[in-house]
Amino acid sequence: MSRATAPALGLKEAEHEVTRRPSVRSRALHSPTFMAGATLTTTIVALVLLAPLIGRYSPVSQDLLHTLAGPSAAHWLGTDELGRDIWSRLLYAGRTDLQVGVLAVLFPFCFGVFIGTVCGYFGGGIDTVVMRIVDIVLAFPFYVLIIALVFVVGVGTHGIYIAFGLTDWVIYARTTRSATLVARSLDWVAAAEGGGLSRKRVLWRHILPNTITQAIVYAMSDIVLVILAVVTLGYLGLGIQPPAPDWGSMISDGQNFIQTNQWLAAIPGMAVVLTGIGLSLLGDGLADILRPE
Amino acid sequence: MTPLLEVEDLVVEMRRHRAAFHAVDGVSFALERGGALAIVGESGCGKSITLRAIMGLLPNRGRLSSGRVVVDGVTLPAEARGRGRGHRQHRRMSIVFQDALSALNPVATVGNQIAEAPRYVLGFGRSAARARAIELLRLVGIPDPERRYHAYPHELSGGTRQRVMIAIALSSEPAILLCDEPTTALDVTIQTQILALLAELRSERGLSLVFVTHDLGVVSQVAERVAVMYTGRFVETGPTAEVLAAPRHPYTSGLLAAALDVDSPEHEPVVIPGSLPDPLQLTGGCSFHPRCGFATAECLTTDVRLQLVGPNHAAACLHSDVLAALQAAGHHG
Repeated sequence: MSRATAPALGLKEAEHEVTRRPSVRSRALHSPTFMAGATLTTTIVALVLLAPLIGRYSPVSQDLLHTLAGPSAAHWLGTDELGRDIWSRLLYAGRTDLQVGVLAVLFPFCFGVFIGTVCGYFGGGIDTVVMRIVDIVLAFPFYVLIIALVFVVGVGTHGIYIAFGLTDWVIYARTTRSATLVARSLDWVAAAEGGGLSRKRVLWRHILPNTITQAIVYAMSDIVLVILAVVTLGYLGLGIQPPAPDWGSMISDGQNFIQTNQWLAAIPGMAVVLTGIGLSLLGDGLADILRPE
Repeated sequence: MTPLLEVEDLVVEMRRHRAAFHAVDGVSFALERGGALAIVGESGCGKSITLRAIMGLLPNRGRLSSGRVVVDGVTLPAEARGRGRGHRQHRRMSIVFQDALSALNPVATVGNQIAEAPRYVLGFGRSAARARAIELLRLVGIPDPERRYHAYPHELSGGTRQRVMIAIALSSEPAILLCDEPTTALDVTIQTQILALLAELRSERGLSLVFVTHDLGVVSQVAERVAVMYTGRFVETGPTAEVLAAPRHPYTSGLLAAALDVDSPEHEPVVIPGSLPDPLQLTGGCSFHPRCGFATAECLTTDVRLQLVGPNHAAACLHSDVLAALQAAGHHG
């Protein structure tokens, strides 16, 4: 029955011409921003993951006969005041900092996106309450809040996770909520609801895929923010505890020798900057690629 | 036989800032199985809100304050959202929106969007739902449906998108299709094709239509009955041919006079003076009186309701007989 109807309508073939937008992959390959960001980030992650193979020394083993040595064949980037190999420490520090950065963003991302979606879609009392909490958290200066929380819950990685878990979700909640508010009033959402689909399905299949892009893009720069915060906390002595290497404490230790051995502080500083640039470019590139038509 | 769809005294209250007004104010109609009704009116007269209220999809600032919607003898709850498989009667209806691009999910393929209702509402298996979607794509006249299944909305032309939208609406196997200006965003040739498709769905599948439009030219192509809407009320209802040929409400005749007529280009369109009143500023009496050439002192105070002016033909005007006399004397409009 259905087969017979189509020709009767006298369609013009031209009306159905398909103009295919390049696939996500080819858009990615043609975005210089994304490719630069991805290359830089992948390189850094690879180096950091390969630390036990290419590090050559343990990051904590001391060689008090060769302290503050310059770059050499034995120590590519020289040694610090305790004779520890800076190249090895740099890699192992990156391992810690990147891991903490990603993990500390993971929970706020999931929780914030979830809360934002629920608030934006259902509105009402929960929305009002949650958004006032968001306002309160945002009203505090970020670093003051993080430092205070780390003091309260304890210094070290778990303190960092808890501090970020408690504060960082608000940004995701707020951006996702506003994107959901926009999506909720769109016709396709009404059409899906009118078609009899359950709320859960409308939220998961129709709203979230359209709102999550913003959150993903922000998560990239957020990892940079967290790494910077960890570095800052490390510099203040509240972050990763010695002797475990961390870029922040490396900078802070190197500061004592800033007049004679500048590279001690400069090298981990460069590592932070390069990681930041890589992730930021990656975020910008993702924003271009994932943006819905 | 009871009508398939009965709408009784529908009143929708909309909030705007602090104030509230009736966007739809006492709309009633009945639709037979396989029948079609066109609702005509200017932008902002409440026609789209009427459809959304029937569908149970009012925006958050809107509320059904009275009236009921009966489908096949069953009164529907005011709110359709979130019921999932639960509510059969709401599923007897589907809605087709004006702008198919914003009415389609940009990040899902059209095939998946069509297969969704069969799969998750009607309980089809994965491959059965897929086959059903392809069948629907073919039904709405999209060639090469197997390939089109994997297309994203932005890859399709406006006409094809509107066809996809209709396929999605049909995917939950409704008996009534509510069309919210489905052809307004399309050019004339595509519009004709879509109207032909709707007519065919009616005749072949016994689908009933409620068709909202601001284009009087479209009305006679889609529906035997027409309702003219002004500030949330039906001001004239009747058989399409009769209403268009001999309107009994000054607003209808004003709309007709304002339309361009391709067949007689010497006929200058006559603009209705004034503009649609702010619904918050409505005073008593007939809401059209400030723009009406027939208005008398009585019109300012009397709350005019639809009255029969012929078999099946009703108008909400105190002076509909004057209009009829004028038409009889040959002064059309």
